[in-house]
Amino acid sequence: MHQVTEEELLSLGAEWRLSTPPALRIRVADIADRAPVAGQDTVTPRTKSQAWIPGHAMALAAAGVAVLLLAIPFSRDAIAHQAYRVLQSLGIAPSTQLVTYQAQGADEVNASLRHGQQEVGAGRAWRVRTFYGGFGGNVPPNASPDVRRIDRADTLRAAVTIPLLAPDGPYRGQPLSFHHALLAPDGVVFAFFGSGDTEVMLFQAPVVPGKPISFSRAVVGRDGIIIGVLPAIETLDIGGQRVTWDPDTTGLNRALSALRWEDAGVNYSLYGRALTKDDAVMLFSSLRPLN
Amino acid sequence: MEQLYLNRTFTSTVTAEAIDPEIVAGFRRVCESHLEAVFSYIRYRVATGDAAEELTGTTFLKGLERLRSFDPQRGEMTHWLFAIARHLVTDHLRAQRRWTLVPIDWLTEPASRDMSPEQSVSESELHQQLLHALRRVRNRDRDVIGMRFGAGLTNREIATITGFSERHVAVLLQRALARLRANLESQGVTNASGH
Repeated sequence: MHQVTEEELLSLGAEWRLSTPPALRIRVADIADRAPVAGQDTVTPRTKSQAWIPGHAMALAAAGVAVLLLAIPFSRDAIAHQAYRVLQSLGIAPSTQLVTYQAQGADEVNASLRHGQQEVGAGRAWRVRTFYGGFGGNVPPNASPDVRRIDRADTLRAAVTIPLLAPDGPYRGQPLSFHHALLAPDGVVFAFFGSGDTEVMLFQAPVVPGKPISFSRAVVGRDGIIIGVLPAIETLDIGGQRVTWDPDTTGLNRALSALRWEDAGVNYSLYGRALTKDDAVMLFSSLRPLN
Repeated sequence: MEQLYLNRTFTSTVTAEAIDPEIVAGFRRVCESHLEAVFSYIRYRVATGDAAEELTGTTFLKGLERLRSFDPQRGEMTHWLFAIARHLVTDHLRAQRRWTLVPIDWLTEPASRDMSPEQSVSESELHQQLLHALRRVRNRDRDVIGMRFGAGLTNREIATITGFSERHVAVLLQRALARLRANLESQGVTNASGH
């Protein structure tokens, strides 16, 4: 079985090569163009600097392949089961809170991760990974633990009871249309619109009295210690709706920024690739019922 | 003559005095042919994709800035570029001090959105464990593992870049893999060890 690790390492390397960001390809192509050549007074950019971007890279960009896990899984009841100790809990809406955890050692982190995996394995919890973080919750009694992927808006509407919203772009010059959604066992909806660099995700969850939804950010130290990252929120009023701009404070991934609010018994969080506050406000203003 | 080049993403000063066209052509070829390898190597070394992206871009930019100093008599341009990448990564890791900020997502691996979440979880489990184990091995181990498995370099090429003998590289790699397997075993991945 000696080969297993090497094969996995090669597989991981291949995966990372394929995931070379298109923006980096363009940047390096631009750098290549800047190399001064004898006989040239100035260095002019290659007009087709993307020409050598492999097709698979463009396909990956279009598909938005990178899926990351952050946040704290099992954010409702499961917080109580975790070893994490809360440093700060900030209520931003009646059933929405931003939680920051105290530093945790590697063993505690591993124990929590194992516990989470066991819960998922036993069908008691669900977990979804997205580019915008990892999310999780509990599976209601007698419900299937499966997270459903739904590719049609009408199918999604028929499957849920909450009023679903959709941004009515364009966003960064691109039209936004429903792409697909993930429907969790407890009714949480992850609806994706657009694709690639202009993708937007709208998290929509039914409010459960007494069970606030918690969002959290943390970073992991080299030695496995988890460090909670405090939020730096800004409360806005957009057309009479109180919303909270919750930007990424890790400095590591702007896709973790979100605009959050509650309305009509639904908890919403709007995410997007490299989402800015202006983007979020514009997208919020464009929200319409999902058709 | 110094010429300042500007664009939206970075500012750099390069010497506009002409360089041997063959070297320039070689640099452009390497930019095209080895970008993925450099990125993958750096991705093995650092904690986040964002950091890897930034360091990879900087590697090629440094290469451009130092292109005049490249001497083809002393080795291949790819090896020279990897040497630049290694130095940049070392500087980056030093700057991180004790608290290297690594998003918790590094405990998992990228997966395709086209897969169902259930598929992602099952197919990525070993990668997750591998990433977790990689995080626990020494920088020097990640260096050789990254060059070998991230960049796909041969032991001979790694020897050229590091200045070690090929035999020594083989030993370093063997030991690094042994430590990695030990870490995997400690996670309960029993099929990663043994011969």
